[in-house]
Amino acid sequence: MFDRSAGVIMTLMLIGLPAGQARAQAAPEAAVARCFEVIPPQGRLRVAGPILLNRCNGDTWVLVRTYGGDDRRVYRWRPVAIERREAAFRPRLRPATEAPQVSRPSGSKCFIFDGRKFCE
Amino acid sequence: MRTLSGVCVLIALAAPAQGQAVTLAELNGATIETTIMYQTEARWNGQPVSTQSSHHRTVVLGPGNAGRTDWSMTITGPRGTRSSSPQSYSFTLGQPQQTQSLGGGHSLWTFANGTLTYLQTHRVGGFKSSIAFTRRAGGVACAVRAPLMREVGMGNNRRESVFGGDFEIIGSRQMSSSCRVATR
Repeated sequence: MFDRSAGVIMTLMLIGLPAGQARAQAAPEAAVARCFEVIPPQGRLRVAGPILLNRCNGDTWVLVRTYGGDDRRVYRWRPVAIERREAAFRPRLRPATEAPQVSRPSGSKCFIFDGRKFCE
Repeated sequence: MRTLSGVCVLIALAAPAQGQAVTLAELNGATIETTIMYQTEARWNGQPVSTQSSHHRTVVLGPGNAGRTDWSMTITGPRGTRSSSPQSYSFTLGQPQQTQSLGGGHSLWTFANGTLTYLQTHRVGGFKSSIAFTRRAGGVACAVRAPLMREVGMGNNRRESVFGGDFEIIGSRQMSSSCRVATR
């Protein structure tokens, strides 16, 4: 059941990839399939939704339910911030006991909190 | 003459230079009071509202990285003026914590380079308050700035209204602010 939804999710995600990922879109399907993996929710982790992992470059997204422009709830892939030097490895998910990661909390017009980016 | 020079050097060494950032140790036990006025265009439960709000916050720093804050909000809108009940909580600098306030989110207090920073995330978007401390003759002064923080790619900020219901912020502008600090 999950494999089927994962396939749909992956397809949707690939359609919605930003311009920077154009090379991945153009790549042969088999190569793309090798790169991307949808990881089902892990019971012991705080991350509730499935995770989409690009094993080729380390880019990671988590599927979250949020609000659209109106009151409807929509699903979106939200990028998970990682250090680029970690890209060759499987990104480490934050266990429930760990605090959200925060970067540049002061002295900047933007900050990233728990994978969410905020700007003035 | 030589003694006088020596005394001057000692005084200069003992007193923090005007240009140096205020340290957390200097603010141990300090009480900081800030008030910020906003003009806000929003939708409250889907209905457009234009409000002026006054956000009052008191922060007590110390001991060490510990702190405590109380805050309340007074909002003037088409239906008159209402004040929220005061809310209070403790925090540790540098440690994010979950909050149930305004529909839930995370908050974080930090101190660096003479500035106390408070971050709060909401259902969509967030809030940042920066209290910058400077030295002045005989004490410490402060200035506060607290812009609305938009969440990249997520549209308007959304949170729970302090009086209940969904609150979607279309635009918010800081009109004025005041900051006072009393050191121990």
